[in-house]
Amino acid sequence: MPICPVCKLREADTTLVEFVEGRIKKRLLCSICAEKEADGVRSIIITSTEVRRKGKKCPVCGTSLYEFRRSFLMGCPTCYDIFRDELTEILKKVVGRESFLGERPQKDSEIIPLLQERENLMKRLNEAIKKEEFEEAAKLRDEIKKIEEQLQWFQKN
Amino acid sequence: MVPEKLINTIPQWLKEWKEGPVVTLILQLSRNLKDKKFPAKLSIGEREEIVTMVCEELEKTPFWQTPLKIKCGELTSDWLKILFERKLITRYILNSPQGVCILFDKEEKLLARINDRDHIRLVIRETGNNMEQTFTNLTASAYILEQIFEFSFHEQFGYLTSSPVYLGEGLSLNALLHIPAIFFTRQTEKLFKILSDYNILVWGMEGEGSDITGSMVLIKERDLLMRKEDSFARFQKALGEINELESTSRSILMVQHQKELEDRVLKSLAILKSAVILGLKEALELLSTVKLGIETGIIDGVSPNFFTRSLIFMQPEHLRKKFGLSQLDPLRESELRAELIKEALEGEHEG
Repeated sequence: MPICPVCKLREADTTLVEFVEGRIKKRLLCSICAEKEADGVRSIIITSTEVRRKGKKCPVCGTSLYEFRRSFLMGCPTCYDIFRDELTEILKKVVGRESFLGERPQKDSEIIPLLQERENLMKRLNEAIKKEEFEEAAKLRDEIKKIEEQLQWFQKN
Repeated sequence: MVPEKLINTIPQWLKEWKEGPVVTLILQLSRNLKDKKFPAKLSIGEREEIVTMVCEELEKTPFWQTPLKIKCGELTSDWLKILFERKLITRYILNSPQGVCILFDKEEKLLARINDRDHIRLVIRETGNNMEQTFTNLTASAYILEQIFEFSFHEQFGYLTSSPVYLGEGLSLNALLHIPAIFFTRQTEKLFKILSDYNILVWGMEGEGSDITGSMVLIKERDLLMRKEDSFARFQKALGEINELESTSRSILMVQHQKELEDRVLKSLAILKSAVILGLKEALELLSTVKLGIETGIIDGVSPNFFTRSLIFMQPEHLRKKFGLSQLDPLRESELRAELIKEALEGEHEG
């Protein structure tokens, strides 16, 4: 394999296709130099199949770096650790942020019984309305309101 | 199986829209189960397992009274197309429905897609009138999901999704807009300026890659890694600005170009009333103009439901099912479409 003419270090395994003054110009470079030399929309990087095979792979789902770059899809949660650097780079460039600004997920075991209770009451409320028992319905509605207030409290805290 | 009556109803998220630029807000929450490969990398058997497990849990939640549950893998392609036309499934599922299941209520406002690109995608559709409430609903739903399942969460990236586009909260904010006055007065440049200021993508109403027809556009915010409260606030602000642009455009039309507007609206109405064949794009353009006519008070006496009715029922697969045809040639389809719109204009049918 020829040596890359730019860095004169690595193997030239990547073709960089450029459109210069309306003409197509092809150059054989290494993958790193090709990316450096590439100029946005006016150039295309063609990776040879050998590099595709050699590239990093996720051990869990088998997604390769090449596959990720092409489809911009991850295969499993582990991919995010394997391709972390590459993704961070892209995010920095495109979004200007590299990490999540929101809150961590939280669990409350207390909230589930409340939700079930609300569901029960809703069912009873619907039945009461069907049977035209409006006093009962009003009571149920008040109870549902109370539970909803509690749920809101949980959400705030 | 898909219930037959589905093809004769207008989804509630469309039906409730009466006027104004924001037709529907479409909020999507993507979540993946902890330590599981994303659906694309799972075998069909593994996907089925996830469907069974997730459905069982979801059916216990207070989201739905009695959800409709459809396993897409068991459907024939015509029924899949119906679901696609009703925006219940995406093009991706249309092409690979194996091991995909959808749950939704009869209003079609709350939808869960299991094994779409992510294990769970919860979609809330609501008319644009009550944004605050819709956002609160989504926050609450996210919270409830959190209590039931264990999700993939990354210290740096937040919730993990198969496409890094949704990283962070796993959230996608979309809206379907009807903005005829902006297009009529050629203010699109101003519109695109607003959209690019807020980092919003725009397509035709069919979503990614489709052309803009009939002044209907689908917009999508792409602010990943942000807190959801901030995303909501930004999106709402953007929608507010678009709303304002549309209403100033309308006043320009009404004041400076009243005759032209009347001419266009009434001509469009006349074409719809007497057309024998109507293509989908042509029909959409005309319908949109007539709708503007109704909203600006140029036409009255037209059923307010006619626009939304036509929008859903004039789609090819809906026409085919409605008229019980196995094969539909384009000419016959256009004929039936013209007929259907005439009927909708008369407004006898509610549904």
